Amino acid sequence: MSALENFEKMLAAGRDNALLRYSLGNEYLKAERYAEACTQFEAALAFDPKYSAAWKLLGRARMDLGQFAEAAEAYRQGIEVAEARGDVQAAKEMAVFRKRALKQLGEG
Amino acid sequence: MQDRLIPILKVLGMVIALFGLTMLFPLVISEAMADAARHAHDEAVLATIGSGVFLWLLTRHNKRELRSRDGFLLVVLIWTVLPIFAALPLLIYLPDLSFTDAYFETMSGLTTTGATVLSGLDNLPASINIWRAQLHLLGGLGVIVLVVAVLPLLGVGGRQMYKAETPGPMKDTKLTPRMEETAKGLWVVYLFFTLLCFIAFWLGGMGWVDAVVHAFSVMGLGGFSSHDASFGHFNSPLLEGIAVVFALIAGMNFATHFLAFRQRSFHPYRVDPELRWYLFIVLGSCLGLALFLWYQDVYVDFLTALRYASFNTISVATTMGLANADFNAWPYFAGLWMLFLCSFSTSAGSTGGGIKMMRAILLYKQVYRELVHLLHPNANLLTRLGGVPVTNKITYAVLAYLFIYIASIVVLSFVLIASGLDVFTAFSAVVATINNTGPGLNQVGPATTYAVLTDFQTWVCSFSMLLGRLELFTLLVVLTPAFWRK
Repeated sequence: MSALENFEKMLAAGRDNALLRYSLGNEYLKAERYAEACTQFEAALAFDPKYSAAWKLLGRARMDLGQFAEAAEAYRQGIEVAEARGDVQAAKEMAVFRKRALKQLGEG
Repeated sequence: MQDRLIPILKVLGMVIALFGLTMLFPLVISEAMADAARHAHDEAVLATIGSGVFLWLLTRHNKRELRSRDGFLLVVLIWTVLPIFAALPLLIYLPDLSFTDAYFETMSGLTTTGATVLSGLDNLPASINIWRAQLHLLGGLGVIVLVVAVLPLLGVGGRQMYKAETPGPMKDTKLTPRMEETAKGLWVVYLFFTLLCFIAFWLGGMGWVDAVVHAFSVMGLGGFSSHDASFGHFNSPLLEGIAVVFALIAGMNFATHFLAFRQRSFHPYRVDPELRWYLFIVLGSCLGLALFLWYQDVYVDFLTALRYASFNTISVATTMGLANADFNAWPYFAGLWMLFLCSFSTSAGSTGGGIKMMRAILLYKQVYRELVHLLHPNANLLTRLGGVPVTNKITYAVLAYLFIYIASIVVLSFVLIASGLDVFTAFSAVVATINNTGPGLNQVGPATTYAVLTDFQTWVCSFSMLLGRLELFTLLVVLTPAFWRK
């Protein structure tokens, strides 16, 4: 049984919180099921809008879907949250990813 | 009762405060890297050191020395209370994580089990991953052995605690006249190998955070990784080679390493009665499973089969628990054989779990002696280990140990099955936790986590890890009515 199946089972059993949605999104991302990953990260952020790691992976999933404007927006919000929490490392990373998303938009 | 508990609580306070000091390492890392877990470490350090000092201040006037019996209770208290404080950084950083899961995670860290409920490890702050792995380092040779080594105050009654915690049946073996020196010597050797492992990983291409996490994890024979894909993340035969060499070293008796260092000779390795069996069984299994996987067409060529079979077999047999492949997807025989190996392969005095090779050899010799007795009823046969006769007292203790070990696996498996878990998951979860290995099979296989368990099942597995780490008797004796009688 895979981690993805386990997390889906937990969700179906009614165990629902930001951490579970984030974990599920992460597994969808690994399985290259990007649209489902986005849905899960958005659900995680609905629980906890200050979850900087979820913003980061939401940006990545949107990048993989080719939604560069939406990805840049996710990174922007992620950077705000990370800076507010003092998470300099994550903010720096997301700033680099945001630049890449904007670059893609410029070329597009 | 109060008279009995106060001196125990006094030492417990000291140990908690000292444990709080070890939390400064991830705090420094967090500050240096400016990651998001700084406030979590700040608050955890303050709460832990504060609680330890408070407990000590309340009980400091008591001067009674610890008795032999107190050692058992103190060790059990230390191993049940420290995971609570260890869980604080996780609980503060991940507010959605339940206390049950956080306690499981840190119990898994300290007992060097390496079973995790967390996923998204790649995106956790470095300081949190380092803290998880640091628990393996601290738990590897034992928190008490560490405390005895660095805190001479615990010399009072320390021998009882040391004996209650140290793995293996030969706890009275004296390496140096003073126990503090022995504890210090073992820790120096342990830290030396950990440093060497870190350097090897770093030179082999790992980033320094990964190198720290995996060096702690490998030498403690824990299994926490900083990546969801565990060691498979690196996809590097070189790093895998380094990991298995150090895992094999960590699975040997550290007393043997200590003597080899002191004598500057390989002689202690040559005369170690467990070592040849340990290497023969583990390395022989690598070869056998590689042939099996190749024959079953799991891997198309023998060398690839050998690579994955070797890493995962050594990892599980030594109770390290890192994985570079989903061995849950292999034919059942392979996974079950690996779990069977983790039950007895590592040496006494190593950082591994299970019943230990020394007990397995003694059991084998005892069975052989019984068979010879059937043929020669009047023969006076002695069981020897490394040329030294083994007393019947030790043999009976080992037989009792084996009985309790098997009974514990059966009872805990039934408890998990009764709580709704399938038979295969339940059995493998108990074997993987009681032997402090980590990954089991089916729903708790190497590609997934223990998060799928209900709270009740998670507590059962936490108990199983503790039971295995304290080698059953230390924990069970505290649960007997006789222990609490005056």
